[in-house]
Amino acid sequence: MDRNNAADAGRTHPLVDAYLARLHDTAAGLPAGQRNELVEEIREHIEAALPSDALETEAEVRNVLDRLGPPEEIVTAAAEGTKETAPEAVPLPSHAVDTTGRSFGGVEIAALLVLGLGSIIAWLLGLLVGLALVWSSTLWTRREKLVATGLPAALTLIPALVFTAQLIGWLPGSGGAGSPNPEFALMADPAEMLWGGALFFGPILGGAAAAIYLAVQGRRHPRNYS
Amino acid sequence: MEPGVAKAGVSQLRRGALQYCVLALLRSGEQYGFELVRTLGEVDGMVTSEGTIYPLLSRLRREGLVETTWRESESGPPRRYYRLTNAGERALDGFADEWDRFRTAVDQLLNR
Repeated sequence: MDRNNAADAGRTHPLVDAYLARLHDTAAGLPAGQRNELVEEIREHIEAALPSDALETEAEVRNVLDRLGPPEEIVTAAAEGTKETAPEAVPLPSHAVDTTGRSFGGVEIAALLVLGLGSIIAWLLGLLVGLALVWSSTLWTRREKLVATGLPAALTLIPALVFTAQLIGWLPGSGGAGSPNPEFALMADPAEMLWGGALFFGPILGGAAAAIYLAVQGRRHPRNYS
Repeated sequence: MEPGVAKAGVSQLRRGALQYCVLALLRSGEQYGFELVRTLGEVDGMVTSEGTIYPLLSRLRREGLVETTWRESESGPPRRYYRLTNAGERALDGFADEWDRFRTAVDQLLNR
């Protein structure tokens, strides 16, 4: 980012400059990139905190700097963050930076296979088993699981509703009176065939779509950071 | 035990919990640094020095629990927006569970 003290005319208050200079000096022990980033962030914070027309009062400036805290404390916090084993720092629980369980394991592969193909073999049962496996996995977030459930649910329920409505006569279909071909009344009406077919393929297509979605999402998860 | 020791104990707890409080603030959506810091600063007893949140945010970023995007702002230079990653959400969920258990246990033992 292109930042320059002098670029913002009249915004540099001597107290702020002194503070930032002290921060910069105290941070001498940090890696250069981290040091500069820290000073920049604090500088931006100060700018955001002070009124935007360069006439902040000294009291306001002191207030902002007080709230920020002493540069020494800020640098200590930064140093603790970079040390692998700082005695005072509280480590995150292992699952937070766990790189092992966050890729595709047996559960995830089984979930995708059953979800994608199980519905072909066992229709709704396959779909349900697949979804159960998805929900038992720890790889995907709640939202991803909801999307994966919603897709086949929608593709199944909507045709189910329409098809049922046709059968009981609420929608045009051979269930109603006015069928154009009375001799074929017992055979499936084209509209019914359409929605009946959609109902049949709903779980299959929905399961496949959900499986693809989860496969993509699963690969996008961050795996390793240092 | 000196009273100072108790204070130090709670301050350790606070340090441990603070990162999760930051993650929790991001649950509802992305925020930029200044917003986050101010919100935290306004919760009584949470932060003594707002400036220390910035190194914390950097650490969360390095550990993959948050990610950032720069966005243009009408009122000045581009701002860095923070948001939770999937790993961050998982870590937060895990902490929330642990915290519930812990808080209940301590409250019980302290008879509060």
